[in-house]
Amino acid sequence: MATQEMTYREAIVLALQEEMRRDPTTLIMGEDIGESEGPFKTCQGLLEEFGAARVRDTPIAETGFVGASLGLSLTGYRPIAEIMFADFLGVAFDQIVNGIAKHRFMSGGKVKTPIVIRAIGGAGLRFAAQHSQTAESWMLSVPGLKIICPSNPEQAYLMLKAAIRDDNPVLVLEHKALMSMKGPVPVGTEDIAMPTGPNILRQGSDVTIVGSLAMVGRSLGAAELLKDEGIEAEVIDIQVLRPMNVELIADSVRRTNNLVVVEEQAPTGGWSSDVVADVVSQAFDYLDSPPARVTLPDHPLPYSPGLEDAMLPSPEKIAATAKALLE
Amino acid sequence: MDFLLPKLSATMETAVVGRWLKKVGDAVKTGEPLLELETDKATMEVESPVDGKVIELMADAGAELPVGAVLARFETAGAAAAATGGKSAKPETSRPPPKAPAAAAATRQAAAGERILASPMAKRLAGIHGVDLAGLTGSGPHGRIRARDVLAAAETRSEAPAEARPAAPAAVPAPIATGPLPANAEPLSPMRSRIATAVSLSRQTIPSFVLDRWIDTTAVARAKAMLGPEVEQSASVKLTFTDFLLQALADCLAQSPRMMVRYVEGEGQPALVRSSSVDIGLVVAVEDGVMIPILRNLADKPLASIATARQAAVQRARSGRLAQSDSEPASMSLSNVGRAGADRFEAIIQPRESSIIAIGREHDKVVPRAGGIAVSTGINVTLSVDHRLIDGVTGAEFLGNLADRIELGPWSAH
Repeated sequence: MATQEMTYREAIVLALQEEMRRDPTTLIMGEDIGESEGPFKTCQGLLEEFGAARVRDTPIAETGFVGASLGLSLTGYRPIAEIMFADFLGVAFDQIVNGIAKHRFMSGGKVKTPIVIRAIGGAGLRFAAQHSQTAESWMLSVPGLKIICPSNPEQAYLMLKAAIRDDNPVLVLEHKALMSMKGPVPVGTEDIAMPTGPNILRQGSDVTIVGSLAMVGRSLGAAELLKDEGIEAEVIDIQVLRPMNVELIADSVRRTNNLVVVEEQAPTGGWSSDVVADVVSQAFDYLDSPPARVTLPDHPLPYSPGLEDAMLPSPEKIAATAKALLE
Repeated sequence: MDFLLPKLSATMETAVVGRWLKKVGDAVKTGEPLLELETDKATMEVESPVDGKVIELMADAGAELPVGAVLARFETAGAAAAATGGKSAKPETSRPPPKAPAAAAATRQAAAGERILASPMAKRLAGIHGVDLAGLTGSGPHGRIRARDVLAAAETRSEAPAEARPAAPAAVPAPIATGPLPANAEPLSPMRSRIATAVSLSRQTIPSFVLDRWIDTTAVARAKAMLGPEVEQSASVKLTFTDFLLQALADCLAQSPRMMVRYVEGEGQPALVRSSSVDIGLVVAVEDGVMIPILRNLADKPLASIATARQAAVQRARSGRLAQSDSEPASMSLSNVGRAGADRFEAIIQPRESSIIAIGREHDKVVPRAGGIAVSTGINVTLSVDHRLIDGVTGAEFLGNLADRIELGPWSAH
């Protein structure tokens, strides 16, 4: 094992390569992932190395190839489905929600469903309303699914490997704005474990800021801005949306007494509300201010670069929200 | 006090005075109908907010008056009962008027049930440090009291020397040698010298004796395993062995009035003071010494409340800021050395208290049982009592009750 500097995209490719080499029952399906190597080049070199039987270009038919993943998993394979834009998860909603998530339970535990669905979502790259959503909350209420969100190259690598080895269906939400983010990756890690909860990325004593995916970096940016004003923010990457575990966040709030949750989704029905609700339940007596959420406005993402940028929670906005809690 | 026209509905701005049901000189009781008011919604009876006597009626029947106008003056039975608003037939809409006249404003602070805006953290800290929120001005939005306001108040108070734990009473009986100190002597920390004074005073003035008892704790361990997760879930506090001891002690004390006494002297005579509530001091080890916060009103308290109070008391002690309420002595203190090495020990009674319970480490020993031998997990409980007030029989009975209570339960979690 050696640590190598690489991008988030390269970390995804590496995880796929290592796991496909490790287990011949793994295979990957998706739109334009063969010769084109994926619209975001997350399948670079896979067709060449593993051949067309294990790296399958599919028609534009998510219901079909996501449904086929369930069949493959029941017959001994470990399928990986790539959803080109997370926005298209909706096309395969029934296969995921009523098929994949429930099969193990409805068979009385007799079958395993080791399926990974990778979906590339998120805003910031001018893909407009139908190609910029993170889809984080769409399947948040579906028991039987695990939903994980890597926010840096190391997590992209480790989480995807853990997801592929998991015997249960895992939805891995990747973020397109992070694809070129560089960071250290522990190449060749064999000892892999599925994360079970959030991770503290920066310690601080005054306010806890929780984010996912691209909002983690923006929260870290906010922490830098707050530091200039003498405010120490603790930044937490939620990492795992399902099953949600806020214990670490509640512990953090017991120390900082203030909470800001940053979510790249509309203000209602998202995971940030769940985090706030659970933290209030668990750490009520430790709150010194009403928990705050920073989300997108209640509006589809626009194509206009100026408007898109204005909609996304900026480090400045996150910092201002945190600061207001301390006043 | 002035009786003001209450706001009886969300939209009400004025009301027409109907019939007065009381006249000048009449005595009124809280909740008794006082007059009829016609509002935009309905005609309703308005009840008296206090016990007292009507001394002046200031609104004529038929007059239309704004919310907050003075309707009548009362002579109240007690200042504490003074409330600024009327209690109406619809309590959810009855609020103090927005602008109270000066006379009413003066009683505002005392008004019972007035909502104090404070963050949950601030309320919690106020409990730990014994700070009265009513006396604070909040620095947060809408005047909300924040954690920092409570800490600042606790800080200011702990700087005042009078607030330090008065473990040492005024009189120090033994004169301290005035000769030179050895060259290598170090001065005692303030806490150490307080302890030195207190224990010396106790040994010199309290004629005490000790009683011992082995108490099996198997049942406590079982109850703790069963109730612990439940209490942790509901009250966010970890149940400890000490909480069970406190509940058992509180129950036994409540049934032993002879133990709930303290020895005092005055006017050249010895006397005793009976405790009106079940209070227990908890000896908490801190850096370089011990602090003894007092847990108050423990009678019939469930384990969850005891654990919460115990946690707050320990935090007070560890933060070095005992509250005003910790300075009034209890009749008994509890000292539990926990897992430290001692099988049994005898504790020194706090001056002004009359007994102390010392708990050794929990361990196994071989005991006779049902004609054979068995291994019992338990603790040595050592009770030191002030013989001026408590005799051997009383102490032994108390220990016997305590043993039954700990070994047999029952434990109430909530």
